[in-house]
Amino acid sequence: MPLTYRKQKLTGWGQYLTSRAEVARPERRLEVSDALIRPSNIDGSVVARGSGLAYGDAALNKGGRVVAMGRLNRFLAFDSTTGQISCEAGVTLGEVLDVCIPKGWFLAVTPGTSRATVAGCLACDIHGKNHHVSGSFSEHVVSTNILTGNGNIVTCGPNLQEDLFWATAGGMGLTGIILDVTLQLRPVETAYVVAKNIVTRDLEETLQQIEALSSSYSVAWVDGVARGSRLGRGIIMLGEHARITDIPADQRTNLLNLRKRRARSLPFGLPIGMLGRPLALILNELIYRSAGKKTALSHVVDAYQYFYALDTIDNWYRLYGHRGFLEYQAVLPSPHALGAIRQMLEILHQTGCVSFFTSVKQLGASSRGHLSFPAPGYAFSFDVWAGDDNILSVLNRCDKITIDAGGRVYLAKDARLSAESFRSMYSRCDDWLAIARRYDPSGIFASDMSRRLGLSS
Amino acid sequence: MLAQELAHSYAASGWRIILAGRDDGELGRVASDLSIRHLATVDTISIDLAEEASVDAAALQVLRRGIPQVIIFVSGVSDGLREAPYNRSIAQNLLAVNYVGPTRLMSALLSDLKSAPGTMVAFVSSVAGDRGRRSNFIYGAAKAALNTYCQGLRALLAPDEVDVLTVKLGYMDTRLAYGAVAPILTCSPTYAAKAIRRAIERRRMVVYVPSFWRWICLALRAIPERLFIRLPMP
Repeated sequence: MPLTYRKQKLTGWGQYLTSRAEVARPERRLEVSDALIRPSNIDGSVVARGSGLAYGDAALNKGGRVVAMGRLNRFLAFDSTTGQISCEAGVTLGEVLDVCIPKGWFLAVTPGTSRATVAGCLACDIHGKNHHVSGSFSEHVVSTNILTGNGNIVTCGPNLQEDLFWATAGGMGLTGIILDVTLQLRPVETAYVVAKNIVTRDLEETLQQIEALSSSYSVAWVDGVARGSRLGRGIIMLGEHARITDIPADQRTNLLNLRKRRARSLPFGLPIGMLGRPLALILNELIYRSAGKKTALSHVVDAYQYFYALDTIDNWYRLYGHRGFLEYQAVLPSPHALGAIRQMLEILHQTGCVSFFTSVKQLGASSRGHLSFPAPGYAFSFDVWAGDDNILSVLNRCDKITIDAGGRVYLAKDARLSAESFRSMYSRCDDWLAIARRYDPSGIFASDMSRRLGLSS
Repeated sequence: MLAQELAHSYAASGWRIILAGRDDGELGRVASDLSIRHLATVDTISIDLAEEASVDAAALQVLRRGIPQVIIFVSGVSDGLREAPYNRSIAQNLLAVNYVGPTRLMSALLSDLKSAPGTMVAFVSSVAGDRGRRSNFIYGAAKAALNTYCQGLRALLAPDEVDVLTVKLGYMDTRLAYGAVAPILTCSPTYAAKAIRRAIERRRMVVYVPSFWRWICLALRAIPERLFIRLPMP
């Protein structure tokens, strides 16, 4: 029986791209297979959607069908001695943490939001602040079940049906519908993180220090508006999971239980994009100075506060007003990173595009995912208001710099990369296409993103 | 969905849960979810309310475990509402799952129930049972029968201090309403579960969920039949 569909307007997290699709919302596992049945009155392809946090059009499918997986969110198994946890596609990372922290386990890799689903994390092969140490999300997936285009449910993993697994890790949901995921967690002694901030004076020092300061977690906030000799100055934020001995002896109770925070939401859009440069200048200066005072002192913060600061406002995209924003995130191999990042910051300054949030982090070795983003080097990202007239041409210039440096743009955050640039960045694209066609011969899985990037017709 | 939410609500407060349902795979997944999230003790019983033998077997299993403190029937199908008046098998299934099955199960439990004071039996019925409409009256008739059954059962069990709750549920944002009802008219399953649990704890007899349906149903029932059948309302 075909699923019931409802026409809905869907948006990427950046609010920049919107399209209408027929949306189904299965509540039982058996219903998901019905997504392959094309209802007589609807044309087109299908793509799964989790929490809808991809910034661009990865989970949009104009005129086609979208399968919302949020209601398939049951935990299937958890072994608290080995730290292996199995759950359905729609379980969020926050839910995983609620279950595993009290038992002394933590996600091996986490992005900056706990609201992403496990299937979304695998499909984007997300990375965290510890990529240089722990690699990407897919490298901690033990196995996964995928409904493929020919109607089979295939169990795959790094050692089982590897071709499908590595095409799915970073495959943006285009190899099939991920039904469940089994993860290997990492042990922790407490639910806290020992954090430390290091202030840097310019871009060169920022990059040098990121590499020199060895820490499990590290990310640099960069002052997106500082120019001249201060270009690229920032704060390097380091973190380690706190051990029991890191906590003062009189506070060592309940270290694995965190009080849940309530997310607040913005009631309406704040067009800070339009306020532009003056506001960005003030904000960046304030952030830089406030961190400067705490330099080099270690402090203990709870894990939610450390990893998911932005989750405290559940719709922070509204900060950019109704036109939304674009995030540009590219990885740049080490030898060219300094020059490339400097060029991009200078282009932003010259063209008057203001980045409200700029960051750099170090990435380690790539996973085997064909379309997986992380690669050795530095990941550089900035957010810009989508309302600026020249923003697309500015980002196209950044693409050229990225390609020349041998880097690539992160698809989970992308909303505008051209098919041509995509091909120059992702050299294993043809291998990926061959595998995707094998498991989905009729090309049923497609999204606005796959059509834009030339991954489906 | 609603049954799942109710189970989560009780499991989170440390209750032991027995889940009964038709799809063993789903039952297993919900059971593992409850035990992982809430460390709850969960047991499952396979039951197909449309099959007499299955209902009887399930009743034996319930009796073997002893009458639970709270029993909630969240059974219901509403597939093929429009064809039902013309299609015997659809109509029969609607009646079986919504009315015949639950009452058959209850008949097997009744004598034990009479000696279990303090027990609460809740039936999730529907506002569709309050007035027959041309679009869903086979379903509505089954729910109306269930409502009347609840009234009688409540009176029968009152001396034994066993309470019976009729939940008249409006549109809820799950499979049954998805794509058919504007989302703004629906309540979430979490909301409904909370309201039902509250009604159970307050030992209410009849409750509309969401509560505004009480006034809508009152108005619908007040319309004279001769006028009602001419209304364009589906």
